[in-house]
Amino acid sequence: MKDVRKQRLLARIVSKPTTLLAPAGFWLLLFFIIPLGVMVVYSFMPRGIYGGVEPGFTLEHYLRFLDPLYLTILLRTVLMAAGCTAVCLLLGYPVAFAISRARRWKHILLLLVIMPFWTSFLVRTFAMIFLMRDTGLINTTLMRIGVITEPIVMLYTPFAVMVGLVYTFLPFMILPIYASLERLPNSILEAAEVLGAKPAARFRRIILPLSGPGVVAGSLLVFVPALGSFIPSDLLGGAKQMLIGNLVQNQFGAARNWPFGSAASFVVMGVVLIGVLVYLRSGRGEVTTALQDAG
Amino acid sequence: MTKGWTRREFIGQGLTAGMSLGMGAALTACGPRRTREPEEQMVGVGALEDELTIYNWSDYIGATTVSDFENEFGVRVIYDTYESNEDLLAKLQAGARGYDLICPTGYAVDVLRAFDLLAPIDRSVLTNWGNLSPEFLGRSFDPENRYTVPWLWGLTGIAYRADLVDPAPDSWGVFLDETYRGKMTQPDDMRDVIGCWLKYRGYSGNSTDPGQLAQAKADAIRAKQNLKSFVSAPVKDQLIAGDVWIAQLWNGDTAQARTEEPDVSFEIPREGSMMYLDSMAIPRSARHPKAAHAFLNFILRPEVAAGISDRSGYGSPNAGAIPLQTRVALTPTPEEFARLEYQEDLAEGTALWDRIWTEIKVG
Repeated sequence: MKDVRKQRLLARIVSKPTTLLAPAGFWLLLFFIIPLGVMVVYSFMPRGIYGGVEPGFTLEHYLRFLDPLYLTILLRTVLMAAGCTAVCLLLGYPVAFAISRARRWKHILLLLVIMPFWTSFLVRTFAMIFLMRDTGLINTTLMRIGVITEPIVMLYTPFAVMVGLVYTFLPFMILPIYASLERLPNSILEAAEVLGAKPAARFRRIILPLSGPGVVAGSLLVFVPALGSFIPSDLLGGAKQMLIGNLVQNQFGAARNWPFGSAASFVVMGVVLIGVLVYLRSGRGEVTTALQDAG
Repeated sequence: MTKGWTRREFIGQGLTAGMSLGMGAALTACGPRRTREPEEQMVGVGALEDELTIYNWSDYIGATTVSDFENEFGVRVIYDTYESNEDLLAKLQAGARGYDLICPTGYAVDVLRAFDLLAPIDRSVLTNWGNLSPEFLGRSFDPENRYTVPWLWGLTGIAYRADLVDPAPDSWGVFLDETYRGKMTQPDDMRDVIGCWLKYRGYSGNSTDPGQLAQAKADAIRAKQNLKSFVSAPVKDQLIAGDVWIAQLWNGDTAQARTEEPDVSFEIPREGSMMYLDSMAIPRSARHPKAAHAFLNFILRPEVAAGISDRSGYGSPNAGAIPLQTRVALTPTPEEFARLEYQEDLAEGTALWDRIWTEIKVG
C-alpha cells in the first residue's frame, strides 16, 4: 500500500512541469544567466590595465560604439551575416523541397545533410584551406586539365569567407524548411491543381507561404550564429577584415579590455533581438495572410 | 505546501540572483593586488612530490625532455600546452590552480607579478644556474631573477623563399613593395605588425607615442594591400608549398619550416627587430614546488637545454648548450643582436595600440 502511494507521489512530482524544467533550468542559471550577469556588471565598469576590471561605474564602453570605426565593423558584420542567410536560403530551399518530395531516398538525403556535423568544424575549415589555396586541390586540378594557367586566388578573399560561412550553416536552413514542407499535405496541392492553378502559382501562393515558418526559423538559425562567428574570417579571410566576433575576441585577448568586450557582446545581442522581433512580426503577418489566402 | 512561483516572479528572482552573484564575482576580480615582499621559499629539504604539472607553449620542448626527467626523478609529469600569453594570463587571472610550472614571455611576467601570482624561486637548489648566459639574466621584467628561469628566446624577422625572391629582403620596407604583392604575409598579432612598422621608422617597438603610432598605422595600411593575409603559425606550410614567398615570422618557426624546405631563409631587417625571452616560473598556487625546482635544475643542464633548443628551433639562453647543439639555430650576429629590442608590456598604452590595430584591420 505504502509503496504504491509513494510511487504515485513520485510520479506526480516528476510529471510536474517545474520538476521537468528544473535540471535544464539549473544548467541555464549556472552557465548562462550567471555568466551573463557577470558580463552585464563588467560592461559598466572601468577597464583594468592588466585585464579584468576596476571598481566604479561608466558608460564609456557603450558610448564607444557610436564611433564610426566600430559602427563600420558592426555594419559589415550584419551585411555579411545577411548575405550568408540569403545564399543559404537560395541554395537550401530547393534542397529541402526535393527531400520533402523524395520517397525512397528521403532518409539517406537527410543523413547526407547532417553528415558534416560528424567532423569538427575547425577540421573542416582547415580542409577548405587545402582545397582553396593557390597550390590546393582545386587550382592544381584545373591547371592540370588545362582550364587555367595561373592559379585563381580564392583563399583569403571575402569569397572564401562566404563559402566557409554558407557551408557551415546550410544544414540549419535546410532542416527547418524541410520540416515545414514535410507537413504540407498533398491534398492541398491536388486541390489547387484541380482548381486550375499552374505550377508557378501553386508554388508562389501555396507552398512558399505555408513553408514560411520554416524559412523564418531557418533564417534565424543561420543569421544569429553567422553574426557572431569569427573563425571563418580569421582562417579563410586571412584576418584582413575585422568582424564583430573578432573584435570581441581581441578585447578578451591582446587588447585586455574585458568591459568593452562585454559591452560589444551586448550590442550584438541587442541588434539580434531587434532584428528577430522585426522579422518575426513581418513573418507572422506573412504566414497569416498566406493561410487566409489558402483558405 | 509552498506557493509556486509565477513566471514573472521566477524570472525576476533568477535575474536578481544572477546579478548579485555576478557582482560578487566581479568585485573579487578587481584590479591588481599590491605586490607583497617576496618571502624566501625553501624547498631544499625533504623528498620530491610524485607529480608535476607543466603548462607550456606548444612545440616548445625537447623530444625526450619530459620522459628523461620522469625516468630519472620518478616524478609523473602532466604536460599541457597553450598558444598565446593571453590564454595563460586569462586562465591564471581567473583563478586557475594546479599548474606547477608555466612559461610566460617577459611582458606576461610583468602582468603576473602585478597580480602577485608568482612564487619566488629558491636559487640554492638550482646548482646548474651558472650555465645561463649573463646576457639573458636580470631583464627588466625580473631584474633579480627572483621569479623566473630563462627558457628560450626568439625574434621576428623576414622568412623568404631564396629560390623565388631576389635580392634577399633586408628591410621591413619589402612589405610596401608591390613586386611580391599577394605573396607576402604578416602575423595576425598587433605587437608584431605595429612593432615592425615602428622599427621601420626608427622608433622603439614598444612606443606608445600617438604621433609615431599614426605613422606606423599609415605604413601598415599601405602594406596590407600587398599582403596575402595576416596569418601566424599556418604560414609555415604555405612557405613550404610556395603559396607564400615572404613572411614576417619567428626565427624558430622558420627553422622548423627549413627542415622541410631548405630554400626557406631568414633575414633580420637592417632597421632592427623585436625579440623576446620566455621564462619558466612557478605560480603561487603550485602544489608541487619541490618537483618544480627539480625540473628547473634539470633543464639548466647543457645537454637538456640543447635538446630543447634543437627541437623547437629557438635560441637557448644556456651558454653551455650552444656547442652541444646538432641544429644551429638562426642565431643573430653580435651586430644584429645590437639592433634587437625586447618586447615590453604596453600597460596603459594597450588601449591605443588596440585602437590602431582595429583601424588597420578596417582600413
